[in-house]
Amino acid sequence: MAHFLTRVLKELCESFLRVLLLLIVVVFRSCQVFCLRVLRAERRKDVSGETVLITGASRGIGRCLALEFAKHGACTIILWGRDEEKLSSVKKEVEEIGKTVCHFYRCDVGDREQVYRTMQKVQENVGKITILVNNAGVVHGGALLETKDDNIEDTLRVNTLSHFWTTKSVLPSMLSNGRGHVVGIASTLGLFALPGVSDYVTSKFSVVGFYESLAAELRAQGRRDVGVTCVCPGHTTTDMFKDLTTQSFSLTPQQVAEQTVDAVKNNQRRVILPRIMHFTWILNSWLPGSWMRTVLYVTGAMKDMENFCAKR
Amino acid sequence: MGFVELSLLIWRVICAWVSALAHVFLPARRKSVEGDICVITGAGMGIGRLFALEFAKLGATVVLWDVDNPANEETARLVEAAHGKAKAYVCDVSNKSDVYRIAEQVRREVGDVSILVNNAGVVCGKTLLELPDEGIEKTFAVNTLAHFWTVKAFLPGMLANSHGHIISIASIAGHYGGVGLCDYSASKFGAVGFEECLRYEIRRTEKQGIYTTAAYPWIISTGMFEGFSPKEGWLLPPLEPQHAVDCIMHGILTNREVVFVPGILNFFTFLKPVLPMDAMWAVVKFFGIDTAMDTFKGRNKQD
Repeated sequence: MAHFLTRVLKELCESFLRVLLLLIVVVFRSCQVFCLRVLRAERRKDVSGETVLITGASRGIGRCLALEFAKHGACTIILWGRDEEKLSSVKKEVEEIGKTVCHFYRCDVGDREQVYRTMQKVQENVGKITILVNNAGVVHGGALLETKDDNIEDTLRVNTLSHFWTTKSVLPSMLSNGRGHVVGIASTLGLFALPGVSDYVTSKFSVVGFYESLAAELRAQGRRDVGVTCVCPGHTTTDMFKDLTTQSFSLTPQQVAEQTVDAVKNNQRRVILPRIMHFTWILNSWLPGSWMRTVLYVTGAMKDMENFCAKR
Repeated sequence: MGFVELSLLIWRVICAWVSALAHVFLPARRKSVEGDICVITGAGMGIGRLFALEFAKLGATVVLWDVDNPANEETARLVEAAHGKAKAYVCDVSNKSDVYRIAEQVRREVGDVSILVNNAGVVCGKTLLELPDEGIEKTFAVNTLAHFWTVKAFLPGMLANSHGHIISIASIAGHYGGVGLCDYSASKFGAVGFEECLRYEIRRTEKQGIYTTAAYPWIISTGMFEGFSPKEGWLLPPLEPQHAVDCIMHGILTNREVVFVPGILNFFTFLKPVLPMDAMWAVVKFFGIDTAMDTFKGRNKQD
């Protein structure tokens, strides 16, 4: 009996110490991150001299990202998109900024084989990619029961699975060079849901999960030289969500691009834009489900989504 | 937002909180599922089989879906041995035309489905670079897209009868990304997002009587995650299948929207959005999740 008691006590003590240690580490880390953020003293890396690949670069956030990376002195920028005319005009804009070399390739990221083929072409013609920005995305939307099956599959292929294919094809060279960064443009709809866009929400939740796993995986392997950033912008004034007539907290694609490049430099893993959306996320996970619905009704977001849905 | 709206919002938040708190202390009444027709996907093994037995015990007719016919028939036999009503169908939920066809067949042969348990799931358990492309696509087809197809097949009937319950068995990996779980976590995150959307979509129709329950269990020792070896079992032990099913059943019968098993996982959900990812990593390491998949074996494929 005494033996049993001592054993239980010992185990309790041991785990108690481990829990205590955990709490100390958690508090310390939180303070550290907070202080670094406030003092803006994160270790910043340079993006000049990098080879950047941006998917969905013909317009919206992708276009602004290309220009922003060029402004920060990226050495080569590769644009992927489906519309060659628009891509070539973005290429011109990028080349006007400075000495950045710009290439563009027609590629539908929803098609796995096409991604692999184009990636091979890029690696042969241009070289190894050191920053990958998975930005391409589509939205079909509409009431769940009226959304077409093909549209649901298309959304998931383009918004989610494409990240797997592109990342799988560039990660080996990043790991062997000991240098690289994978950036995913998700959405705040990847953190909390809204009605009327179930295909989009599902795909963006998956994207957030993918980058979280990828970051954990690289970290578990001790690879701090390859960074992972997941950007979750709120409503952005691009063509994609032009049917959404919301008034509050809209971002311009330029703002998203600036913050994204900043996050890459700081090696930030999770970026939520605008900041207030982080607060919404916290409340969404802290409060009972009916709260979020109430907020949506009161702030009129439900009505906005209703209108958006009706236009689909 | 004007003053009136703001005060209304605060009032409703308080109401929601109070009713949520009341549910913690007051035991909720369990509803009856007698006479309901309940479709369970992935009913051939693991917790799918246990759900079938539980629903049958409560007087529901269970419709069993699985790709593995012998295992599915075995479940049907077990249910019938326990004096329940069961009917087994071979259905690959990753194939949407299969889902729609068999859903129609169920409607003709058994009747209007009022409970749907989206339980089928697969896992590859490899690091991103080792994952086969087909494996990734399969994981998404079964863990995420299948929820769209089954819901689209059965929700209209539930709406027409103003009676129904959709249950999705996701995973705690749908809230936290894990090492060696790139495809699985991503697909389960998707299922979580879909479930959240579904709640809004049902609410929007303003039909009463249709409920949803999302279950987020920690690892259940059914063999699906054979070899997954986390640490600190005293705090988060792997769940016994029957215990997990009991907890989730209780959530379903009391119309809970979200059920974490074990309940302590609620606490980590509170932490996630407020802790920086560096601090969360300490928690991940504490539970040994960074190395848990190293010894992963998974279910041995018989076919």
